[in-house]
Amino acid sequence: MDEAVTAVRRVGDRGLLVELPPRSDPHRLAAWVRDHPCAPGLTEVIPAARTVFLLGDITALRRIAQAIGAAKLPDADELGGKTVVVPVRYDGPDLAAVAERTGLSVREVVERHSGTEYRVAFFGFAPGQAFFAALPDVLHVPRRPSPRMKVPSGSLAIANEFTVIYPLDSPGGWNLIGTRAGPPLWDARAQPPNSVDVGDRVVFYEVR
Amino acid sequence: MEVLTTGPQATVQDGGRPGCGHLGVPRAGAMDRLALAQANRLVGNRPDAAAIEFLLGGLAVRFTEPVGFSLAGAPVPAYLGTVPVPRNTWTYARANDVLTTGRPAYGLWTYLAVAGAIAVPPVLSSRSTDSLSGLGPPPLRPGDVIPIGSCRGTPGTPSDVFVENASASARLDLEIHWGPRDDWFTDEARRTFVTATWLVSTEVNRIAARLTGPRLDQRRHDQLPTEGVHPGSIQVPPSGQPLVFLANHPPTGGYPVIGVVSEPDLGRMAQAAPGTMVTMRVARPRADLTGRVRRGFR
Repeated sequence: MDEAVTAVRRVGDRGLLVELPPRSDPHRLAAWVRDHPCAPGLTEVIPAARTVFLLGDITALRRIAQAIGAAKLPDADELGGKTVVVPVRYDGPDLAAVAERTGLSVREVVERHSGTEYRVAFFGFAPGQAFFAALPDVLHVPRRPSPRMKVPSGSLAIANEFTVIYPLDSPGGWNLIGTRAGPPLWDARAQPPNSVDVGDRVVFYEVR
Repeated sequence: MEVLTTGPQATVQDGGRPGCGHLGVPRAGAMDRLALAQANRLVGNRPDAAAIEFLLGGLAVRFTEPVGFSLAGAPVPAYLGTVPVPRNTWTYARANDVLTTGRPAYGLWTYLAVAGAIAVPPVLSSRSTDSLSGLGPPPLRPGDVIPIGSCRGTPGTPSDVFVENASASARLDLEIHWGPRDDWFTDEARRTFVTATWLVSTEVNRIAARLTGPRLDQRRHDQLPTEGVHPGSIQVPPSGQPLVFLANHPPTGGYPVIGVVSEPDLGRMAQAAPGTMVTMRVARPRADLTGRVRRGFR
């Protein structure tokens, strides 16, 4: 395997936590696991920041753990992934504050944010909340000092190195810079419920 | 079936939503899966079919059509009209019969299953109320009318040995496995964790139970990158007081997990009322799954 696994830890009765070195792509390991012949014996494959967590049948875990050292991980390009264009309005209440903090004009914030191709890194926090990676460095701003009690669903927000669209009304401390202008990216009643997946590329298209 | 009263909390629960953790969706489902299965099998349903889960009794329903039902889990006194209803058996209700329940003698969660199962529309293949993220039906309220499915199996008494998670004992001995992040704690904290007597606090819900006791100190002070967690994970936030993840735990967590409760003991943990004394017993070390890769690490 080109990216050495740094540890494989057995967790509880039927879990395995596979650790990767910093700056590796857990998504590639997760894709390899999902293609393994024993994958049907797993109930969960959860890639996160630096790990892939597996939950499932102990025999499947053993076979996968034994094969992981020699795994040939798929290249990020081989994983395919589609490009999704997401129309947004840059009308968030924190847009001016983000401009002030970054030293850019509001227009420049919008242009930097919409001029980037993002990658869906992982889901977390709330069902269907995709974390879009590759936010330009200049837009890395910390979370607000005090979270809002209610952020409306569809809000486009940034904090640190990620941008997100809130899938549900929820509390949240991210900087709100806009609003989704198209259909939701998450619909629990649809099959599949997520219209973007980990590894997909996302481009925000400004609607005025 | 019409809900008349709910007690502190009543929700629809089934086997939950396994397999969606990578989308940020908790598994959810019944807190005491043995009791759910028991209640369902008594009325001829699949073991993980949807039933009503209620906390600390107080549920009352009116059956709008004749139906078989059963109660399992925390032992609530129950009456159909004025007639006492035993737990762990199949009972037939006529149309307009009213079932009332009182506070359980011990334990927290009781299950009311009906033949044909609760038939609210599923979300992501489950009818479970997800109390963490709001998926599935909202918690039940007085006046709710709940649809019952028409697919009826054969009711009867299961013939295999039947184990109960709810217990009258004031002590609970939990089997745990170390890790995956026990190496983030001081040796002293590791020793304390398995020698102390912990108390189930009043902070208990479908997501987690907080234990109180001596403070568990970490040897590291950097932040753990968020990672997937096993059901029953015992997470220790900077407060040093452990939190046991129960049925509705988030799929990922950012605090180090010192150990994981063995699956057979997790239902017993879920049924433990605030004030229960908890001790940890370390499971026999197991064979390494990996051999080659793991050598040289940890």
